[in-house]
Amino acid sequence: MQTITSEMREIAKKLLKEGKVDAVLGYTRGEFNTQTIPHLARTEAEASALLFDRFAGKTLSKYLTEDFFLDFFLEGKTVALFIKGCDYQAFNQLLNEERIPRDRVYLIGIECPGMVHRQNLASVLGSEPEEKDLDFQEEKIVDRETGQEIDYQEVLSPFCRVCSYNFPEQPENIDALITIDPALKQPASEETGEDALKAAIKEVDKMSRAERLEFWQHYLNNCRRCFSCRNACPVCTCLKCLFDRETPMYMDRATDQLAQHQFYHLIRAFHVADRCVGCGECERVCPEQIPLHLLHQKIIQDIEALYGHFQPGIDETPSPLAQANENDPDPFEKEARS
Amino acid sequence: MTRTYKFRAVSSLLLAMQNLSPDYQVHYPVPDDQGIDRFYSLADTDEAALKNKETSIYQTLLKNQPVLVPPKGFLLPETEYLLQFVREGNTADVQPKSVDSKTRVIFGIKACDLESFKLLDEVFLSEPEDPRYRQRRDQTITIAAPCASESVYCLCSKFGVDKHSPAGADVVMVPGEKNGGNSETNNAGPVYLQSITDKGEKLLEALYQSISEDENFSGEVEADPEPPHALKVAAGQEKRAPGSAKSEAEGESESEGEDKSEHEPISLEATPDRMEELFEAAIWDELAMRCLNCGICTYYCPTCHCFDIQDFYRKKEGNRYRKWDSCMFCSYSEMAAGLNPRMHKRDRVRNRFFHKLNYLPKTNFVFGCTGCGRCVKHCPVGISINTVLEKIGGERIEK
Repeated sequence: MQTITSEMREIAKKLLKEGKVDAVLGYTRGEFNTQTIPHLARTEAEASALLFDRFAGKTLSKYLTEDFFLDFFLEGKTVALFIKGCDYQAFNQLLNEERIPRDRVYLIGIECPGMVHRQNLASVLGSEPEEKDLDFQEEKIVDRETGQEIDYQEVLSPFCRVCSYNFPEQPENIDALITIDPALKQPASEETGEDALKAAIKEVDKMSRAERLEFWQHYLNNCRRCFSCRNACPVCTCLKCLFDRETPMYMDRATDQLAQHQFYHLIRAFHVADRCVGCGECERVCPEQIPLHLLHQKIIQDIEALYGHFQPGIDETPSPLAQANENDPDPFEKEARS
Repeated sequence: MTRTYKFRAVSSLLLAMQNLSPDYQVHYPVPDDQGIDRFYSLADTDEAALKNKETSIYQTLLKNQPVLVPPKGFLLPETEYLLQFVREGNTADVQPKSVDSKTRVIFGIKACDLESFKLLDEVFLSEPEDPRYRQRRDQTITIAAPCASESVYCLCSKFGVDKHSPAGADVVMVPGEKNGGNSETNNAGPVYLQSITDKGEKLLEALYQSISEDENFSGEVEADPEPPHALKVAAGQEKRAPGSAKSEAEGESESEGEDKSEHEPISLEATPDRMEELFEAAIWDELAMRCLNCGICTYYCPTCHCFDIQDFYRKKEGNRYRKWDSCMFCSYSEMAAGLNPRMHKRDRVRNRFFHKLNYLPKTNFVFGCTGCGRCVKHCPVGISINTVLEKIGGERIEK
């Protein structure tokens, strides 16, 4: 992502130099070359550390609703924000909910080629990616020691595979856009990702109720409710989350309440159903590798089947789930599943 | 008098342990269906399945990384019932829940995790002693597996943990040279064990006694074999031979000044004081800005041990239970009147690292980190103990 990186740095330095913004929020290198982390640059020197690559999964817009930036905005400051398509959808939802002062944000869109799913990379390599000497080239990954070549398509996040909105498509709403080399654009999702995901979800759908329960229990029972999925989710933005409430305590941790894990994920999935932007952060951050794409993408699929395509943050609100019409489908009537 | 034993295969060792007593809960490490290493209970594994996993278990013992979930959960469970109560009219019948009396054998625990037990002991066994922890601790037998080198995430040597010689183990275990020929155990080898503590010695002796006469285990165990060098090192009887295989990664991390960052590395001794100098520094704002305030670092850290006590009840009955808490959660320091001294992320992030690198060393003379590397691997935004050490190492304070 060399060109995107150099453009990012150029834009950021210019904005800071000209005093157009007080800070720039983007990404930088973490501890490993498979770890790209959020970076706030306040000087041109700090801006030189900005970069964008296949591990820049973190959605940044939600940070603007937190402590640090609340103070920042109160002080009258402005921030420039680099965002991918999914993040832009989240940003719009926050704007609609008046959580972010639009006039304090300089928005720079990035055309995203799709993020690498670290676990997929580990499976293909047969070891931890960080223990290898990998060259992340523009079009493929090369293991410098063995010469093994890996196409990014092989190791993309399951969410990115079906992404249909990889950059902010509303030029009137953004201040700048960084596009990628057409050669790096991922193939149309209908060809590669959609089918694979649909097939994976279908596998689960085909299971009997008992099998499906066992399937989800198997993965969800590893959940520790660290809440990283919720905290990383760009559209999980309630000021006081239901699961943080203690009076009443909607969800507790009494020992034999293993079902609580399941409740947490199901409830959260439904709460964000019509907001989910498919960024994949929930699955990326989970240390237990719970296959959340089979849950969240399933819900998106169901919404599409019942109400037609709805692009959160882009299509007009209220969303199909936030309104009731006479002609709404009634799944309970039609449900023929055992 | 500690003896050495050699078991032809890991599976026979584990089965022998299970045979010893129905009261023994044996836990062994093996990857799950997604390749994540976890401790599994032998009670949940039947004999045939265990033999099938022989190679897998053996390979896991050779890894230079601990399992995903730290074994602190064996001493301080994620949730544990303390009391049960039932309301009858105007009175309540309250019954304490006892800790189960099973002996727990943690087979294949790594030096970093074993070291964390020292810190947990420091916290839970000093006055006032936690009787439930005490009971579980006394009932736990550790069989430690050394690491040959550090993985890319590990920093145990920085915290004075000797990965070749796990300190505090009841028994040390070292995998031996792979068995040739036999297709079942083609990629697995024998394991050597040596007891360190009395508890460990009792276990091994009982084990040996019970199977040396048992036909089913004929040929599976040998007493007092010639112990491999690695076993003597693990038992602290010998220093590591200068010529023994060292990986490049290990060589780097053990030598001074090989830090990956541009900052100079800071010595462990100087760290607590340096932290104090930096209490008001901007580094905490920088780190906190990207922190998600999830519980990954706290839950997956082998030394983190904060807990909360809550009640669960419906109508007339309920339980009081203790559960893992996380200082990263906003509500961690929330008080009854809604006051929260650590409302800001920055304060929580700062507090956590101070606990590990300043408060604990200064009051309990132990560091709150054993270099296991889990935070390095799993923090979604790359804030690990390394990040902090590097930042404070290079900071220059203008006085």
